[in-house]
Amino acid sequence: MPTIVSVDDSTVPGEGSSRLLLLVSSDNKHIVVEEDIMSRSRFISKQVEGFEATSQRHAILLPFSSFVLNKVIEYCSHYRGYYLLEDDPDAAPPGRSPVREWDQEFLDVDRNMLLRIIKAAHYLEIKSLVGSCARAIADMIRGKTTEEMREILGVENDFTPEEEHSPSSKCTG
Amino acid sequence: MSQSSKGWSAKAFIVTGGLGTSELDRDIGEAERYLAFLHRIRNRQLPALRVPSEILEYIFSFCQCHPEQPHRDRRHPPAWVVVTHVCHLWRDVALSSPRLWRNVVTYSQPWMEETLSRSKEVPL
Repeated sequence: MPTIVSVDDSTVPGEGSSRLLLLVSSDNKHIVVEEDIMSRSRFISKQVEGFEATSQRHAILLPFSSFVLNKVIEYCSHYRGYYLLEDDPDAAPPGRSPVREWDQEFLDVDRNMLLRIIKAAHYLEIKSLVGSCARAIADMIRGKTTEEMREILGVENDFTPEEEHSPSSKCTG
Repeated sequence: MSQSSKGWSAKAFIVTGGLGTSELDRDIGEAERYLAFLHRIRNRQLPALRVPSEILEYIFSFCQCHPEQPHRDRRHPPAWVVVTHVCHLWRDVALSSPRLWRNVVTYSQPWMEETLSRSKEVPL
């Protein structure tokens, strides 16, 4: 359930050609961003529709840090005004296209950051960013052995010897 | 008796020569199961595993095929299936996502049957 708090009108200027939104991160950083930029987020769009219904301005509290939020805003700013098939709710799901070149560079971050971005994108319902992150993570682990994957993710083997040697695991994957 | 105190009592028995091989094997088995249980709890606290299952399923779907590396070995499960061996959580997510199993690309009878069973009602 999104958390919304009322804010003073003076906090958020909103009478220009592109209205401004106030986003508040989990580390309590207030970030003002143009509504157009964040319109790629279905979550934000739904919030804005709610504001219009009540004629009140609000800040939107988000459950991730300003560092992650700024990355998401950077992504949305880059694709401002662009049509991306993945973000079109009426379009059929796209095929397995490779990660866009700009996205590859944008997502050249450490594993934990990549996971934080995909969780934030999922929360904000930005399908194109979720897709790019998922492809980037898949590229990171594809072709690796089980041990290599565990090492990449910092995961321990949590199967018992019986489970590891059970017929369903050994013979059929 | 807690698992750790069981371990200490086993140690005491070894010192006194009170445990035979079969008893020691049993204790080792219990310790291994307990260790796996602790690892499972630890893993669930990792950022890498604290991801909604629908995202994990999505990531696995991208692991399934690569335009430059199509799966050609029809005797063995495709390479992406190793994600089911990484940890309990990943295995649970992958095995409970029928859409991941709708592509049957093997002539191995047991593997084909297993894939069909995992794909449940999803059209192949």
